[in-house]
Amino acid sequence: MNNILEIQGLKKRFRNCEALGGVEMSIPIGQIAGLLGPNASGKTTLLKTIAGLLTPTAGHIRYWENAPVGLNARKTISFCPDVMSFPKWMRVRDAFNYYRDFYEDWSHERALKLIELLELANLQDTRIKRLSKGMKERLVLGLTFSRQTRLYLLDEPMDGIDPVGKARVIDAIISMQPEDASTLISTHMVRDIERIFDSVFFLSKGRVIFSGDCDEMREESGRTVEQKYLEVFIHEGSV
Amino acid sequence: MPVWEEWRLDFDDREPIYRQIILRFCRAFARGDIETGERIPSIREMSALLKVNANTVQRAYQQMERDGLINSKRGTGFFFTEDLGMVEKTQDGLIYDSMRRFASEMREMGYSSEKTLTELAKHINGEETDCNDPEKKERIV
Repeated sequence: MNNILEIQGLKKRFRNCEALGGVEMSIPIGQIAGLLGPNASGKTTLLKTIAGLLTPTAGHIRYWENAPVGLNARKTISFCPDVMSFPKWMRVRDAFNYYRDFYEDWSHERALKLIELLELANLQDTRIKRLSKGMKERLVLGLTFSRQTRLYLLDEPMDGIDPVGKARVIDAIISMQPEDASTLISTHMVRDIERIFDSVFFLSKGRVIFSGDCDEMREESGRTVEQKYLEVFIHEGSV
Repeated sequence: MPVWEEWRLDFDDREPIYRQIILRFCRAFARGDIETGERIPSIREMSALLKVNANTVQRAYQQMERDGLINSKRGTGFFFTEDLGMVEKTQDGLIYDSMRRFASEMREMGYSSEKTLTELAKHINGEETDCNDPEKKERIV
């Protein structure tokens, strides 16, 4: 299989609410893909289900060869949640140690590189609760990419980050994705990040309503991915 | 500072990024910023420099290799071609594409062929006054 991820007919229902209504998606090896959609379109539910943190109601998720499935998927999939809570006493250094002890795929070498790229070196002794939103995002991204694995899932990694921070985050994603891995990034802020995507999936009300290769999309329409996004969603009536 | 370090900031997200990379190479050559036979950065290096995805750079390099604009020597990297004819051919192709886009945009805006040509001529003439630097002019010609 040349895909890191293949999803067919994926559904997730919470009591009376259908969060995912039959998602179809595949991501080849070595790609950075965007999962784009407005609030409440199901992005976080989809990422958590792929990460093995939620059990699907129906449908199939296939990962790369020999990857653990179901709830065990979380051992090999590196998921970066949009909100992450840490114990009050924890300093930046402790979070790195915690991840190191917890995940078998932790790479010290990658961690050092990320601390440099995301400028976390002089924050090592700072308590996490004292970090600004943007710094905390950088920390969580650093922890996520310090694992050496084949699928990274980032949930709104740019939320609340200033432009300089954004550039660092983009740098880190581009330079730290291993060649045999893929990354899926959810966001509703398309403009800042569209240049790093190979392909995008537009998610609306729990379904992929449009997907494609970014450069082909630009070639056909002469428009940015963001313009395409607005066009599709305004038409959908959900923006 | 190598010329590609300046490229990163002026991509236009409306056009395929890989094609803009190829165009930058042609332009850099036309201006004398790259020489024939010069070694160019690897795909990974270029992706980090330009802050675009490695696959996008790879697509640009593959296209340039097919067009004979760059050569890869196993183990040593990519080199800009020594064949001037190839550079010209690639430039012609890219310019043709931009002109086709321009022409269709003008049509969509309701400009007649005559109006498009007159307006275009004004711009070309306006630009020419900026190109009085003999050295620059020679390169453009």
